[in-house]
Amino acid sequence: MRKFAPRIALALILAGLAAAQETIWVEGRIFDRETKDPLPAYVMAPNGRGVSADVQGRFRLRVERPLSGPIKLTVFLLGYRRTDAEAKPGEVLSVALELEPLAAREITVSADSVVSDDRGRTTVALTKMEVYRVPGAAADPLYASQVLPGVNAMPDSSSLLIRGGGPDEVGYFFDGIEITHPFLSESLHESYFSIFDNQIVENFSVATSGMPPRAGNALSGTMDITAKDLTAKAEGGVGLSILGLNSYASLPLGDTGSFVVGYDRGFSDWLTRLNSRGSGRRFQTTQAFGKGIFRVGKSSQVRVYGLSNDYRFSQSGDFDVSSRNTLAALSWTSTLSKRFVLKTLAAATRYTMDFDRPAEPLRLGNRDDVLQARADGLWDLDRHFLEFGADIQGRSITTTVASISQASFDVRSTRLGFYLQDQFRLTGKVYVTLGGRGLHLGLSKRGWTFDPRASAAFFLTKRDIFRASAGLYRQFGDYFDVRRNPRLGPRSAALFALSYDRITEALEIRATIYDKEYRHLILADAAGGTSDAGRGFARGAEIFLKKKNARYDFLIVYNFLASKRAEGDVPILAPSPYEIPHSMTAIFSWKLKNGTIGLRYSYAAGRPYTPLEGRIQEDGGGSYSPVWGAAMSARYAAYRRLDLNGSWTVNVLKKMVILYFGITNLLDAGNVFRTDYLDDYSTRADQPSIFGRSLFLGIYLPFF
Amino acid sequence: MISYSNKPSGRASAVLILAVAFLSALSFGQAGPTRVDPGVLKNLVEAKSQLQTAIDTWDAGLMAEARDRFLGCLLQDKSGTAYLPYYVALADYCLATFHMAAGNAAESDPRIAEGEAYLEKATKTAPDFAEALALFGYFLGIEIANHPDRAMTLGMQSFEYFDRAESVAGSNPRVHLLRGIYQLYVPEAFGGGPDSSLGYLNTAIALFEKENVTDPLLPSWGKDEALTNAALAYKQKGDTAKAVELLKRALAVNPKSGRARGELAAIEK
Repeated sequence: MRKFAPRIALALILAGLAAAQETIWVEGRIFDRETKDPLPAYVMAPNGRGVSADVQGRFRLRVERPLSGPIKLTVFLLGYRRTDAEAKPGEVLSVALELEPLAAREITVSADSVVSDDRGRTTVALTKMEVYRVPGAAADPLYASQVLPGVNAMPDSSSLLIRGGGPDEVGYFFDGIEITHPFLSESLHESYFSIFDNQIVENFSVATSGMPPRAGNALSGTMDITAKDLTAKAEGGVGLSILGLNSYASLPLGDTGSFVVGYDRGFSDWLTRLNSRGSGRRFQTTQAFGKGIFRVGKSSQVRVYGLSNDYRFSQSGDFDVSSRNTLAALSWTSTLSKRFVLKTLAAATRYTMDFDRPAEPLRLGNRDDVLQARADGLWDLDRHFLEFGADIQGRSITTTVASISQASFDVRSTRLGFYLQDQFRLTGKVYVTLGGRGLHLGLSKRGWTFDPRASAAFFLTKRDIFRASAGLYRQFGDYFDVRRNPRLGPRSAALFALSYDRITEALEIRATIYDKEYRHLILADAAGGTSDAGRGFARGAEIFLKKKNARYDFLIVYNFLASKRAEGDVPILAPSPYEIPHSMTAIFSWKLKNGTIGLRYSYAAGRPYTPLEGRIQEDGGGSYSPVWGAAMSARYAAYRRLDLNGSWTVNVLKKMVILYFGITNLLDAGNVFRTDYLDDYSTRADQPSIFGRSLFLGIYLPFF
Repeated sequence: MISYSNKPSGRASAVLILAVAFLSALSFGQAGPTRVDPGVLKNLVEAKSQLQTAIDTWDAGLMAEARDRFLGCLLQDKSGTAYLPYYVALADYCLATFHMAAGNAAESDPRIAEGEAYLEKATKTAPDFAEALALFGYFLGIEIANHPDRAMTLGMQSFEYFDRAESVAGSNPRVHLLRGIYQLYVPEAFGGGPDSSLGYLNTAIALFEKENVTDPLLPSWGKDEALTNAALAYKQKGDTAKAVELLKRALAVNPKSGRARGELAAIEK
């Protein structure tokens, strides 16, 4: 018996093992912990065998029954945390998966808007094609930006009025280079079109809150434009329209790098003839851009830039204006490690403008030379994304006035800045940006200032993001004012904003409320001096909605704004000249088989202005003084415009050809842009918008 | 008495840590270490074989099973190689193509999205992983086929992925194969069509002749597909004799290829 005992024991063990090897079915359902959406996750048994759940999140897996205890499973879906689950025989398992947190660099923490074709965005965006298709925007980045939330501008001028800020309160950056004159046509009252041809633009972002501290000296917002860069394949395009010629090419240079070039030439003659607008106005533009990207070793790149814009405008028998914008820059980017990138940049820009009115006679000249250099570091620590750097800018401005006599004024100063920003993941759902910027202007005796800034993004779900930002922003005013009164410091704005975004493939929604408190605005006193005692506020709300499907795209944006300022020669809080209380843009684009048709309606409530109430004759002579009414007590009529455009793609000799048209101001609404008075204040002259009803036609040949 | 310690000094430790940190910071761009656990590798070989059978028999169920096995390998893997997410995406590519061919865009969309996500994971680990870059370019192409309104945006992106893959690994036959298949379905006005496609497919066929993959971790698929797709391009051009020749070569490479067999039967009918 003793002989057989071990054999019996062995048999019992084997029988037990056989029982343990019994297979059973485990069933269950997998879903997103927050949205409760079913997830087609993969469920793996301890033996490495597994099965994917169906689209309803249901799975059924055959597993070996363990000797004791529950059945251990691993549940996995890309983008979610890997989760261990335990099932008991006969039980229907429910497994909730939680999102895997994203790296800090993958999140747009502040409520900015971007134009980008990137996927996985965490902010409201337009794609490059949507920019091309915005009716009435002439594929211009600045005009297209006006359909982004927070931009209160009228579709007339290309200046961006961000959340009640003035046109000079926006900083423009092109591949990190600060551009002080970003407009193709810049005059005393308005600016038209940008110097950046959309063809050479890779993407851009418009920061309306939580402005990145690397961009300094901007009170209301920044626009960051990135030009096309390294390419592995040649591409380009040539277009001809009644406004002229546009072209670009992006060329690979093998292992050496790439070259991007653009050339545009515009003129008004054909447009005038086609639309019978013989008003004696003529313009001509020439734009040329070149960017060379050269690889140096395996981890460095040198970029060389050149940009030149010429603009000429003449009003027959009245005046001529010409301006030129040039840029030359050199940058060096080194990827010192997988996680650390150092960028250095040196750039020179020059803007010149000449205005000539022979009848008076009057000649005005303006020259603005800027030399700038900066160094920026980016350090990706996955949970943290650090950005830091410093910049220096030397600026020299000369203004010449020649009438009966000639006078010249010039001012120069050096501006210094530094910044530090840490964008980090506080928890799996909360991302925070903390940072600040130091600013100093040589002309001012105020010394250094430091602006703290903070933003937070809270991912309620993968698609729903709640954001908050608070920050202090500063910008120096006119350099001539600061030289006259060196005690003037930078104007400041404290901004608080709350936003909610819902971003899906088919629908993007943003709702925002904000409060911006202005301090240290420049105020003129009765003695002809200035002080920084001005103040003001801008409070508002925005709603943005973009819906896409296979047949149409729809976009609507509404901005509400209440803003008052005591600034300039208005010593009391009065409606801000930039206060457009209600502005709305709606765009509907039909997607046809080989093209699109777009319709855009824009509405902007009238801006305030100070009305003329009368005039007083001086000393019984022929000259008069104006009698102004209460500051900013009247408003222009509301601005309305309907634009239509369309494009068709056809094949000619096996090549793609795009034909397009646009009708600006289809209903020929008589919008008034501003009001002027004759020299004796006897007659009011409303200046109409330059965008009367006009038809544009064009053809474009892309090359791949 | 001589004392001996194998512990590095504090300074030496710091230097060692810094050196390791520096080296690990620099070690990127490859498709991941190939020291995959032998058990995982065995499962991978089985999964690859199952996927090949699924393609030959055009069986979506088998494709899905192969995908699950790739996922199992991915979950068990400790090496972090980029090849395993790539294989999951490869199975997604087969499933997406299957559903598209069946006219079921709704079924293929999730496979495209998942495939792209796994390729993003692969290229995050190895930014210069040419096979993954080319497959991503192809996924964008089939996404356009399902959603023509995305063509203007995704078309350029897909070209960029292909071009980057080619610049990184111009001698990889699958990079040319995927581009060749893609070009076959791109309209001629956009630079596609059979002539353009054949430029890539003939390069792929030539490169497959030279390829000799022995590491089971590395992709080795596609030789018969290159020949079959080249045959289809010639068929489109009206050169049925050349198409037949290529299909017979495809069957010589893979006698079980149901697609090559079916195309040959269709031509010879």
